[in-house]
Amino acid sequence: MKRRTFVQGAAASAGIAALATPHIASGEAARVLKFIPQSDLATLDPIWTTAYVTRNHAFLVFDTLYGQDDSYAAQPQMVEGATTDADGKQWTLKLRDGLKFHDGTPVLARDCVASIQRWGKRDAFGGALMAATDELSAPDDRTLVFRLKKPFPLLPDALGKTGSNICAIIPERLAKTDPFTQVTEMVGSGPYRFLADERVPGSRVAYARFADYRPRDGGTASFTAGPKIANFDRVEWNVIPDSATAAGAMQSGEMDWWENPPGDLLPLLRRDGKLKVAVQDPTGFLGYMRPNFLYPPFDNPAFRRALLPAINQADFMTAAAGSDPKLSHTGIGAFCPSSPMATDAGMAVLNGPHDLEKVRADVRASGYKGEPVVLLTGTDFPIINAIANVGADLLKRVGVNVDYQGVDWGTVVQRRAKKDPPDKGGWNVFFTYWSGLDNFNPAVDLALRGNGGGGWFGWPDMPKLEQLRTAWFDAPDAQAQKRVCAQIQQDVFDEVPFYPLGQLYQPTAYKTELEGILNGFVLFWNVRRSA
Amino acid sequence: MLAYIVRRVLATIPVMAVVAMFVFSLLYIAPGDPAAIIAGDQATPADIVRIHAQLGLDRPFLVRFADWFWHVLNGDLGTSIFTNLPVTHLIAQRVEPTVSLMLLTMVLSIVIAVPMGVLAAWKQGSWIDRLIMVNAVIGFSVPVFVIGYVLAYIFALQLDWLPVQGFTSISHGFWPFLKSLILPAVTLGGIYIALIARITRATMLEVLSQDYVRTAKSKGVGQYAVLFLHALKNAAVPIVTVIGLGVALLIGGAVVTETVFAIPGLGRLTVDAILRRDYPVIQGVVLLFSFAYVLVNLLVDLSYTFFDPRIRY
Amino acid sequence: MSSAVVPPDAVAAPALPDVLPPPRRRGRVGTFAYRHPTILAGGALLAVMLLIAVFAPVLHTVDPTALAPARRLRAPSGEYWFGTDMLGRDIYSRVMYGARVSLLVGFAVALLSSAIGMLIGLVSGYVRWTDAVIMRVMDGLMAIPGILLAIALMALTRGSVQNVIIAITVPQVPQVSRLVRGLVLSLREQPYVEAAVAAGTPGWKIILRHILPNTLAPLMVQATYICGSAMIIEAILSFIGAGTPPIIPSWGNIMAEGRALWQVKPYIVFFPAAFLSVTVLAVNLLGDGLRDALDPRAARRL
Repeated sequence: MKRRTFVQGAAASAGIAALATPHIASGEAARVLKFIPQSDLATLDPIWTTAYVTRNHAFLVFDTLYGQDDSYAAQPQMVEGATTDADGKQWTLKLRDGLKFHDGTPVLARDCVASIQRWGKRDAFGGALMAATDELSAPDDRTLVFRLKKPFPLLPDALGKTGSNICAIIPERLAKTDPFTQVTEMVGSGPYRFLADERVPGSRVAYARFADYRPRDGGTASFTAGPKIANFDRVEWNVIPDSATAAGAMQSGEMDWWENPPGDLLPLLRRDGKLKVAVQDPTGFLGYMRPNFLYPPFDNPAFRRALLPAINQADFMTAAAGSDPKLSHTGIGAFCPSSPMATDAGMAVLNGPHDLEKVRADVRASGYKGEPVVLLTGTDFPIINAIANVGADLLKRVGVNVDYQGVDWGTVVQRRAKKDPPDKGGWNVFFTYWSGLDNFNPAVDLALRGNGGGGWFGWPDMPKLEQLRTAWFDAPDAQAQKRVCAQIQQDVFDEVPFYPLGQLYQPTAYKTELEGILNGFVLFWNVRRSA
Repeated sequence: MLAYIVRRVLATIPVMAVVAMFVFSLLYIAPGDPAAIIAGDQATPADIVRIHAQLGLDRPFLVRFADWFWHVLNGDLGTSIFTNLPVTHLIAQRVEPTVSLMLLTMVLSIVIAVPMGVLAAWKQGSWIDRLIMVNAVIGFSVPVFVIGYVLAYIFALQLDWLPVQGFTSISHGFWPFLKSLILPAVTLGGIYIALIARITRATMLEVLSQDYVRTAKSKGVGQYAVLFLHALKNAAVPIVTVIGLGVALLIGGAVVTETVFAIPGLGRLTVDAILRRDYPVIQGVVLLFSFAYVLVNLLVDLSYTFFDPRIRY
Repeated sequence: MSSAVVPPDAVAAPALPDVLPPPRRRGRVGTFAYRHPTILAGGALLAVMLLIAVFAPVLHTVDPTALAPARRLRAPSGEYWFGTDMLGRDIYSRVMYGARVSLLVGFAVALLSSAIGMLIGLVSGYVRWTDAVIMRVMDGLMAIPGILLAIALMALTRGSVQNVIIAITVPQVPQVSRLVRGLVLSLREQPYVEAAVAAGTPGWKIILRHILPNTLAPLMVQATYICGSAMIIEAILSFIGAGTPPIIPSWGNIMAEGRALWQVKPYIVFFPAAFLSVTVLAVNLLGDGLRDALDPRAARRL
């Protein structure tokens, strides 16, 4: 916008064109879905950020080559089918007929190639796939060929991954964008079009049904697999940052669906006969305490191990998810429970009696001299705030000299990237939680790396874990993968790159008149308003 | 007088320059890193360094300031780091709700508060005075968000008269527009009404105690009532000063009110930007607010001569 | 019209209590209370709050930061007088300890900003050549809306009580100085000040004798307002997530933490809100009362 238009805009207080939402007559209101997302959609590009809200948006606008069904198995979505040759070292993927981008151009194989290449530069799973790939090519408009250096049986799982950084297919011209630069022109081939003109960042985003979207023939919709049938003309995301207000908007019927009501407000919403509360995502979220391996006392494995038995996941989860036992799950190790890789190897250390006196003695015996431990946490995320408070209290009780530094999350993410000593702006320990989908296996879980300074914040240097990770990629079948994962979890409890704090489920609330909401995170196809 | 106005208008230029420098350097030394926030929770440190460089955040302070300032002079407030949209666009989108809310609140507050203050001063010591003052004090003893929740609960959830949240543009009709603003304006107005009513009462008492007023009073109520207008005019300087100062209060209150009622205004834009360290947006919005505020206070300064001819420049 | 304006200090007159006979036999305290019920009420309430703040540890409280997730969200009862919060902390103890932070913030901000603001205002209003410069700088600072400036300042630093005080004080200073300067501008046009200037009275004497005393009453109204609003702003900073960390309980952050649940667990917000409101009310009553007491003209009308 040039200066003149801005000045006019600022001067004429009323009638800003950008605000002019098409007025919706009451008859059409039934065709509009009004949704309250978990947070503002700040970034549109799902490759550029790992934020979950962006991933959810991406599934409206973009389509993926593979989907994932309710049992987390990869299923063809944009691809019609695939064949493997040469002992699994060549994959040939055939695109479905009639796929179209929102700008009207057909989806071609070379669009997919460019999209995969850009994604592979940012995503860890994608990176693993690209590392195993010799050549990725598009011999014709509907065919993609992966020539691999070694078999990569997880190829469909990678392309259909549902955690952060999904492999969204975008037109080649946009996919040429540097992966470290945001793509802001939203041209996908998903069931809904992004309405760029109506976007008010921090407040509202809107989508319109893409008339030319052709769902898969046959089958049933299951998570991101199966036919994606859009039943609403419009989907509006209304950002309501205050949960008390969001609850009010649900009670008054102004909104149809609220992604993440806090656990303690559920009784209020349940009491309302017009609303339904349900856990739609069985993978939930996993809480972590992450230590910094670079500085004492957490550079000492004996100290890290000494703390483990003190962790009572029930305390953390009750504080974070609320008193309803159905909303959280304890006994969590390195993997998301109910995921194929979940194992109970080594869990005894967490499930045993939480003898704080013994932990206190072990902490002293490990050589801890009472040096301050900088606990860095974001106070503006209720769940992180809750688990950090429980953590700080626990550390104090076992004799750790906690320097609690509660700041906003924006400061946390900046400070945790610093490798400086804790007394010079660095940190010793922080708290976060991830979607269960990002804790499924070593390919998607960044915390299961031991690659030192190049790894995720905390920088654990754990060669054994790295070897196990490689072994997992090379494992020939699911049974072998599971065996490696049991070893990985054992290693996690030996070296403690993180402390698992439990799993919590995020219930979602919607009007009872909505039906067909799919399991998983919020998905906007299949759902419809009952007549 | 004209020379004074010209001088004052020119004087706002260095003020704005000072504000610009201040805002820019304040944010420069702020600890949060937008690159880290943008990258998301699972980005690696190397990703962050790359994004940091790519956003130009690694250039020296003066280079960044000069660059930014030059663009501001050309009407370009930069591009939001998070949304990649021009800051001017983000601001323009959100001017209507905030300006509407503030104007409605101001009109509502002045219309209610000034007569309240005058009445309280007139009936000083009576139960009316006490009632008005206690109400005024309660108006700013209760945090804005508590007032907002309670009003929303009563008028939106229980009585179902008004919407719980959201803003409807005036282009969708005046009544829906007004309906969406009533609760926020009353919420935001509480503290402003209290402030104006108090200062009106205090200064009216001052003026009313002066001899000419007392003389008039002794001559009869009719003349006394007429004199009230003169008294009010004499009391106007502090009242207008407070109304002008109160605009900052409105802006601050708007931040909370817009959050409570989910109104897509400038206040929320600013807080979101501050919490996310979206530097260009913070700079742009704060600069704009500051500009508006300087303008209001310039008008207040100039109005002194209108209300009180004894003040000359 | 200016001839009709009575010099404010001309009516300073003999202290009134000596002139007027007490209506009934009362002690001096009784007389004072009768004349200034608002001072008594405000002062008493404030004294109670101060006592709470000072004696918080012995008022049947427990550690206000002690967590007990198993006992979370208990309703007020004999055991937990004000109930427990989301993390099972005792709200009664948090509110009692919270009095310390809220009162400290209120008083410190009022004191600091009044002192600094008055100094700047006097200089600016009286010493003509500094006026333009100082007021432009003040305009500059004031041009940044107070709460936004406070949030921005909090974003710079760690959430500590000291930083909250500084962040709230900075935006208040220009407002005080502007008010004082406005009063000074008006006062210096008064004939008696002009007369003093003509008589060659040194500037500092004029300021001290004729101007400063006349700024005190309005300044006190402003200072009480600042004290109250500082406590409110502290709550707003907490609301936005830029206040004191919950590990240091303040009325503001107790409310901010509990506000999402206010429909289901209203007591979490209600108790700190009541204490905050009563305290702000007390401060303002006290201020109004003091104003009436200190202002001779107001006193004469009683």
